[in-house]
Amino acid sequence: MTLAELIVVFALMCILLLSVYSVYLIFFTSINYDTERYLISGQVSYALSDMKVRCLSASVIAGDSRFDSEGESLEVLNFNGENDIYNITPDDLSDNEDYSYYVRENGDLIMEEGSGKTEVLVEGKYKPEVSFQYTKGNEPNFITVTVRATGTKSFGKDVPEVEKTEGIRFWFTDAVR
Amino acid sequence: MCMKKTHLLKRAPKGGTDVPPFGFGTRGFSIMEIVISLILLGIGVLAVGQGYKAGRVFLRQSDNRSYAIGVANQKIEEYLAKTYEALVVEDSPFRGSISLKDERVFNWEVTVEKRWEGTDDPDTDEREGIPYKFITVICSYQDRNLAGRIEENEVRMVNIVPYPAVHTEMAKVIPRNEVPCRQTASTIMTLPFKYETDKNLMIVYNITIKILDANDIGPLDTIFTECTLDGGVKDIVTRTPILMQPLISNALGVQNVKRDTPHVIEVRWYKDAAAGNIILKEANIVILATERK
Repeated sequence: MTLAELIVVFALMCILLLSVYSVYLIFFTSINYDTERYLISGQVSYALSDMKVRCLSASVIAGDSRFDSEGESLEVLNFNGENDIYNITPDDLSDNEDYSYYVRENGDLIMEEGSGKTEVLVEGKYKPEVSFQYTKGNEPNFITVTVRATGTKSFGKDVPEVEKTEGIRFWFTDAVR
Repeated sequence: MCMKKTHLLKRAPKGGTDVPPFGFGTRGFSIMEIVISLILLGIGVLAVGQGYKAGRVFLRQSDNRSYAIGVANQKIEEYLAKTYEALVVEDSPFRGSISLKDERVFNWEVTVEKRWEGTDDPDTDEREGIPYKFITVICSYQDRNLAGRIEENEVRMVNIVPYPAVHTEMAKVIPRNEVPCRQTASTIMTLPFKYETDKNLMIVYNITIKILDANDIGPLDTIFTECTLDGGVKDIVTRTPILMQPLISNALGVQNVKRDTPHVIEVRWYKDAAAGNIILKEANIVILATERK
């Protein structure tokens, strides 16, 4: 081989290696980013749906979870609702269960039943935050809940962040003090 | 025995120049092979890259649409939680926007209209049906399409809040000054109301009396109470012996009270004896209005 051929081959190999690295960077990193983002989105959506369905049939909201009529934001929601969300019996409280939604010490956003059973709605590694808000002027049986979560896999400077807000209506009780 | 080696290709004769073109077939890769391979590889990568780019665009569009649906859903729930009276058509449309950290902006608009059941039916007179509030929520946002152009997209949700089938009204009177019962009819309390549909009414009223002076009141002396709708006198009047019952209660029904017209329920009382000083202690009236079928 001549020196020129060697140089050309060397340059071409460098280009090839750079291309492979770019493919890895763009495709795999980006795919991981998007995959994690949609995993987080799925968990957040599940959490909101669970809250909405359970709160609909809530019979009593715990005193510390009631909101100020001037507007307030809380990080914990405690209420008493149906054990079976598909069998709503507002006149019969014997088939009810206490529920709590909050972020526990290890960072998981959980739904805890009075019996001690817990269900992780959003994993702690995504640093979830939950906020229950009542806005002055809204009906006393309507609140909004916002769930935020942040991913771990970055793509450039971007880190996957998901924030969703859902409106929750209580049919059988008011949320305001 | 000497085995003659067979070569796949003819070896170039000594001093000859019979070599396959472009070096194909000889051992190793020639530079042209590498260049052509890289070109083909580049074309493949470009094609995959375009597909990846399109995938990212669709993912972002899906994400935006999903968020817009969430915003619209939240707004429709907020307005569905309001009562029929709280949905004021004149204040509509209501507008707002939500800005996210990544500079995406979602604008929402809520419109409340008043409609009537059966309005679209040519055989039905307009506004004869049951009224309802028609809520429209539109969440609009900007997004880039595959070509990179900015498009305005929107998500639209609708729902209704019907006029309540049952209404209750209540009035209570605890007089500060004495309200004596005389021999001529006098009004104890009135209750105005107005409904948007024809209603049947169940009216219940209770009156508690206080006898300040019972001298000369006979056992058959009576207090009469009458309940009128818009001044018309019902043919049912309650009669309560003064000394026997300190509480007067009556219930009556009124059918087919017309819609969209102000009405007044009035309760009056009088006694048939000049003797005695009887005053009103407390009175209340409750109306249960149900939709007339």
